[in-house]
Amino acid sequence: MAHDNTLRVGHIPALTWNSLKMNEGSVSGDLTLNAQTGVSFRDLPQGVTHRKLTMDQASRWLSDHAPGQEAERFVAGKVPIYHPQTFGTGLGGEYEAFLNKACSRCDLLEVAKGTQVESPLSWHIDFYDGNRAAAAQIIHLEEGACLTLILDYASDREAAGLAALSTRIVLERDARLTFVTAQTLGRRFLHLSDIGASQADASRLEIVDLDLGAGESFLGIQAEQIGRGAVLSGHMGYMAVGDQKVDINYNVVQRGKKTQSDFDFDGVLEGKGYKSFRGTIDFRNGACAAKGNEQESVLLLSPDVVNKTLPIILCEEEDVEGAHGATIGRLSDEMLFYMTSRGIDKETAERIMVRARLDAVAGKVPDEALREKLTAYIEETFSDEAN
Amino acid sequence: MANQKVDDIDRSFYDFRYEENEDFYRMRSGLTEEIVREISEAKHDPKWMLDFRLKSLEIYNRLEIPNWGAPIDGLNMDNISTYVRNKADMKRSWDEVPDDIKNTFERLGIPQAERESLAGVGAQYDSELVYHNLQQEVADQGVVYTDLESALTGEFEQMCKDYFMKLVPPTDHKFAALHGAVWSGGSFVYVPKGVKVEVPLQSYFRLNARGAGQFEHTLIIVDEGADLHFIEGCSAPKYDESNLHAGCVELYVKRGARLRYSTIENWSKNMYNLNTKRALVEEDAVMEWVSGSFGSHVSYLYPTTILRGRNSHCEFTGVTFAGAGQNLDTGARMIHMGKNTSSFINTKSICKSGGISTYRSSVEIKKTARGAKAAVSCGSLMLDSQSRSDTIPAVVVETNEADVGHEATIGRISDDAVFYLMSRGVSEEEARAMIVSGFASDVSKELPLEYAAEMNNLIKLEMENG
Repeated sequence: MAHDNTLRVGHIPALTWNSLKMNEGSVSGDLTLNAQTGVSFRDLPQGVTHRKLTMDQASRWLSDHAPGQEAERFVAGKVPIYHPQTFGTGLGGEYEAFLNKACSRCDLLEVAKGTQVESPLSWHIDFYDGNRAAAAQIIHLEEGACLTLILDYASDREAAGLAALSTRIVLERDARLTFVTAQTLGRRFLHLSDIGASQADASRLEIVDLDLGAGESFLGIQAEQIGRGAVLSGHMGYMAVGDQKVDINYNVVQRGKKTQSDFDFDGVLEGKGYKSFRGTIDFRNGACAAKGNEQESVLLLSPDVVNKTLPIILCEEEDVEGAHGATIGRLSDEMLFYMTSRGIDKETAERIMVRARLDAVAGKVPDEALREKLTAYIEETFSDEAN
Repeated sequence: MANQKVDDIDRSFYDFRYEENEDFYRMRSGLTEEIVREISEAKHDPKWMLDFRLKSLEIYNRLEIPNWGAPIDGLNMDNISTYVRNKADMKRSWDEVPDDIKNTFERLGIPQAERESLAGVGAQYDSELVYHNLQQEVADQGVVYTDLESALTGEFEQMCKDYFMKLVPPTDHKFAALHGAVWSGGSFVYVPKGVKVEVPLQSYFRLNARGAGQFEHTLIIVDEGADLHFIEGCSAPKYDESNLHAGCVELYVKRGARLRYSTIENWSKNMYNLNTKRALVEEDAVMEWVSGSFGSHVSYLYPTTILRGRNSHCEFTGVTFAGAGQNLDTGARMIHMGKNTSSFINTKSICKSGGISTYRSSVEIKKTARGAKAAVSCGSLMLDSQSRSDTIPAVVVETNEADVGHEATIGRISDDAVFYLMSRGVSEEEARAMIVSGFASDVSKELPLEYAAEMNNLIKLEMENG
């Protein structure tokens, strides 16, 4: 499982000027893995099963449940730079190949037809110092099934290591999944998290993602909405403080009629924080009456931060509505004036706004204990930075 | 009111040609060192310019074709003649211009426009300027408006040397290098300190020759506190084989000056329009771009503004209409370097009948640009599902003391708007045509009346086709 090379991840489907260095992310350094994490659920609700697959079995399973050959043929959009994937993901083919070599097994979590799981299913992974581990999982909801899954992974703040995750989601007709991820890894962790989803008719996928830790994070989300009326909604919160780097690639491919996507990205950059965001709404021919929306808001708190934003809309269907918006900057003068006129100094005002921004995402985590832990983590981070 | 429908732009108005005769000199096709030397000799270049051309050719041969943007596989430099000119010299009197060329510009309405609304006119036919004139009272203010070749060897040689291809160096991209190697024609404008030119200057570029390239260079220096509106127009007849336009525009807007640069581009649909435009804006200066892109088979066009001086400001207003067989990749770049700089990009894209329109932009706020403000608004209108419209805007911010807003929308003609107009007695087709005209009005309202009318005509002619 030794790898020491560079991975090109999170390609955008339509290239832009190379000088901007925004066409893809680049993961370099030691990519050696020394462990693989897995899931063990004690008491699974009725209708929910969990089994382990070899990577070959997982590849075959994914091939059988892929969004279809059309996805492979057209995944490149305008410029064929993707390494074609049978089942597309946000980080792309090189990362998939890396994990296929690095992992020996993949967890398959399935929810049977019509099963409504009332309580969230939680899945916690503890990473330890020196831990360089991968985790690959497939979540499959059969027709009409409903599940909330929380993936919470963390380590000590000072821990070092590598966390490489891959999640494939297959939602059959009318299935509903709320997928919550909360990441609070140590500042010396390299973190990669890749999501690929396939959505059938009227399925609903909600993603809540709070990425707070790790020194360098590469996050990929790709959803293929092949079914009529499929809905994707999401809210991602992240922070890059100190010398943290965050690289995000989001890509929703809307093929089905009346599909909808609506994703918000909220971030805070402080110190020498660096963030690159690439977000694509890709309307394919035939996606009549589809709607896609993507909003990004970034609060910049220090003079040395770097923010890159590339919100793309690709469209080959007339009857669609697509929109993206971005607001990038410091705390507005009006807000600052409002705060200071009430006796709140600038630093406190910024802390309040940071909390408001990230708590808006944390508030969507359907687990009170985890919610409190995340809020405390945010507070602690900014207290440390202030000191 | 006659029935109207939104359709491709009718370019028959521009699609007339005069065959080359013995009065024309045509360089053999292709791009070699010998050809570059021959062009340089024909143009009586100073030595430094020949060296510059050869260095550019070397860079051209080294650089790759861009891996982004519309495909340009159909462009084969082996089939392009980089230099075609009438054997007659440039004239200062319209009556002396050869008849074929004169007729061309008469049909395009250039002399009439000069008489009625311009302070000066330059007319380029294929590779060379054929006519250049500046109103006496403007010349008396010290304004210089001449062909670039004359400026290179006259009293402005040093100024040309100081500014020529400094903003767009040949290393910038492959077609900038190509331009550096074979450029020919174009204008040099200098507006002295404090001089305000009340009516616009215009250059019109006509590429008549089949299988040829046009590589004109426009160099404008608006000195401190001066003010200028410069208008650029271009057209060509349509041929079965490819033509190439790889011009270059370099604009220097000095402290406290203002420059508006307006373009109505209507090349024919066999044209590869790989044009480069760039402006450097100093303290308290203002740059305004108004851009209408209607023609070409393929376009790469992204006017770039470097806001170097404190409090400098730029606005870009653009509309692109891509019809059948067109792949128009257009947009703008703003680079903020100075403190308290500001910019606004406002664009509209329309595509139909299989046309492909790509809006591509970047707003870059450098670390030194504290207090910068930038806003981007881009709207795209799809008129059918055979077409394609993409939006690829980038924002890079390297300081926290900046505010950047971006919004983009894409969609179809609103059913509600059509219904509203129909409820007032307007037919559905008329309603759709009105909505498209309104969508493009951001640009037309920024142009002088005559040019706004020309732009609206480009759309209207098409609508009336149905």
